[in-house]
Amino acid sequence: MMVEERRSLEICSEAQKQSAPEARLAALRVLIVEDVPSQQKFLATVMKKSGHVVSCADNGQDAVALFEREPFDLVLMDVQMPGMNGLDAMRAIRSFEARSGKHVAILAVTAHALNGDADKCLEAGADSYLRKPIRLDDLKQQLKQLLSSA
Amino acid sequence: MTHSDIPTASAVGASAERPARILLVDDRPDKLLALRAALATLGHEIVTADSGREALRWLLRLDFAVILLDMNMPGMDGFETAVLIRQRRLNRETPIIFVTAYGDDIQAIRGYSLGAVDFLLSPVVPEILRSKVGVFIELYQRTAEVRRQADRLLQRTGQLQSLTQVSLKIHAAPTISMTLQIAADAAREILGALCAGIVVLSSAHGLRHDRLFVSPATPGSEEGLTPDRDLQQVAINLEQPLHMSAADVANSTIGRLFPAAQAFSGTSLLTPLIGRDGNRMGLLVVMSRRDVEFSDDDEAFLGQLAQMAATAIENTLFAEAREANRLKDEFLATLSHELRTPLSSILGWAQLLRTKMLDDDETEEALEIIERNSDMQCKLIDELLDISRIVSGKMQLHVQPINLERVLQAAVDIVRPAAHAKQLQVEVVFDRSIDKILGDPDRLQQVFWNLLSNAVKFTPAGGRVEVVLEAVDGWAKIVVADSGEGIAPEFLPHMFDRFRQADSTTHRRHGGLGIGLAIVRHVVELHGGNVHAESAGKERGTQIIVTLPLAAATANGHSYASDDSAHKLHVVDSGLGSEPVEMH
Repeated sequence: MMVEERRSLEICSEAQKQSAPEARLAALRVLIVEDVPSQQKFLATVMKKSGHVVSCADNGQDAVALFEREPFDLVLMDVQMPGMNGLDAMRAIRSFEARSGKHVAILAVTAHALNGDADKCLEAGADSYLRKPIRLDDLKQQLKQLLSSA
Repeated sequence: MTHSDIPTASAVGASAERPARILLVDDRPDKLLALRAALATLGHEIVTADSGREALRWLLRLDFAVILLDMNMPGMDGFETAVLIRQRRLNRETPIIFVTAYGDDIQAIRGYSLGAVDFLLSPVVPEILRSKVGVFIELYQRTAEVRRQADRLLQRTGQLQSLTQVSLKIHAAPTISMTLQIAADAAREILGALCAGIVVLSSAHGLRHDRLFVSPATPGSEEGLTPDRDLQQVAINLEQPLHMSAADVANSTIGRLFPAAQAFSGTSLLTPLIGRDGNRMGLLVVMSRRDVEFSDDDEAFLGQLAQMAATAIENTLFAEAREANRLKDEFLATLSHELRTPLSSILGWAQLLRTKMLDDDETEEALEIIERNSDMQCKLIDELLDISRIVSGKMQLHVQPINLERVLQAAVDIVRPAAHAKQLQVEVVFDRSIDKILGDPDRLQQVFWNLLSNAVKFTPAGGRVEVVLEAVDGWAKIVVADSGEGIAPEFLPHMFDRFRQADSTTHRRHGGLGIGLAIVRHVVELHGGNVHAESAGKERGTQIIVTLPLAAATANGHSYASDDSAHKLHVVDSGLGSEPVEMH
């Protein structure tokens, strides 16, 4: 219970600020991987406003390189990107983790919304996925679940 | 004395088989007469020779079922004649019956050793003569029949072998046109016909017109000719193979189809192309070289070939339908993705604005992002509507005399900021003396903007985009060239297809629905123009060449037809106002 509270995310709603101010204490190190600038900035803004520390990558290669260099608590991963896509990047991250035995939560964020697209994300190593357009409540909910089970 | 006569059909005892030919050799006319009289009732053709030399001369000219040879002749006698006959390769097996007055065995043995098959004692008994000759003729006829059957089998085997080879070729052909040309050529070559043709009904191959493919092909017949009305009717109604005699052919228009069949006097065989569901797809027709009817084997062969062609057409159509379906699915997935991407930014930033946690600069940026993405969304929806208009044939052009240079310049101005942002050099080379053309300025601006924004999109920073407008042989030629990614040669022919994108994977670098160029092509073709792409290959840049008719602008207030005759473009009023023009 303590763990869950400590790691749950506060996403900028007035109600939340009043009811659970302590939830903003923990700063997560978040890696955002997204090629569309306005999307990347949106996710980064959401995370920063929630008090987290954000790093960004525009594509899979950069994301994997960053992941191998620095410690992260959470990865938000877009799927369709030029060069190495999100699926390949997640596979690379998971195989890198296999050496250390760690498991960082990955939330795939995809505009692919057809049947089977979600499965592809999970198979590639995502712990969960969100469809675009993203609703803040859904994002919050997902992160809460992800980090409590981690 | 020599004589040859052909018996009448009424001859008593005539064989049901084709009449054979008998050679009678004797120096005495009375004996020849007696032999002829005795054999007349058999109903065969009888040829007489009064010497061995004469007999040999006949053998050079004609084929005989049996030879009756008098042994005792002045000059060259029967034995010598027999030796010479046997030396001829063709007559090595021809039965020789010696007619002799002698009855001694020595002569008989010598006769047999020289190749005689039998002896008759002179004076001959007519019944015995007829009986013996009859046996040899029957043997001859049966042998001939066996040989004919063997030849037929050989020919049929040859046809079947050819059919197997043709089958491979037909099924390997990438297009329906090529399939049909191969089938027509095969029909002509394998049946030894003068010419052959395949009519395919439009209902069977999904094209706009019925098509006729002829063999030998003529210049321009590669994509099919238009069959004449009579032949179309025949193709619609033909259920069974149809043999046409030379007279039938002469009374029909069928001979006119084939340039090779001018002054044609042969026969014809038509066979229907039937689809899997029994639907009539067209017909296959062959024209003989001579006035000889096609055989049952020919008919069977043609039937199989027609079946093969019908199946190949259906398979190609099926494959095309499957590919179209795949592209549509892919398009829907892309559409869903492309619509969600701007929506995602709009909704995301709207939610952030709602939290009131953004400072002034952030708020400004959020609003800008929302506007920009809304515009993107609008553009996507416009493209979708355009493609839906194209599919339903309802795209409208507001045609008026326009200054192409101005339209091009406007398109260039729109993309210039994006080009500057990527440090692209944009060069414009306009022939300012170019005449006005008739066109829809907004649609054409959309075309050029589309081509230019593609050029900007696919050219890496620091590259170059060039726009050229010039007049070439009554056409306005617009070239949009870039120094960008270039096009893989295998994708070039599909660039302007609907729903096609060179890269439809999740690795793709560029967004978009993949319908911009399909719209470009449609609009350009509605204007009676043409668009195509050239590229030296990957990373070698791309050139898009648009041509539009210049002459059209002089057709003041009148109509002109666009390149595709099904899309008639009527300029209602080319003066100040312009009326919407509907395409069908």
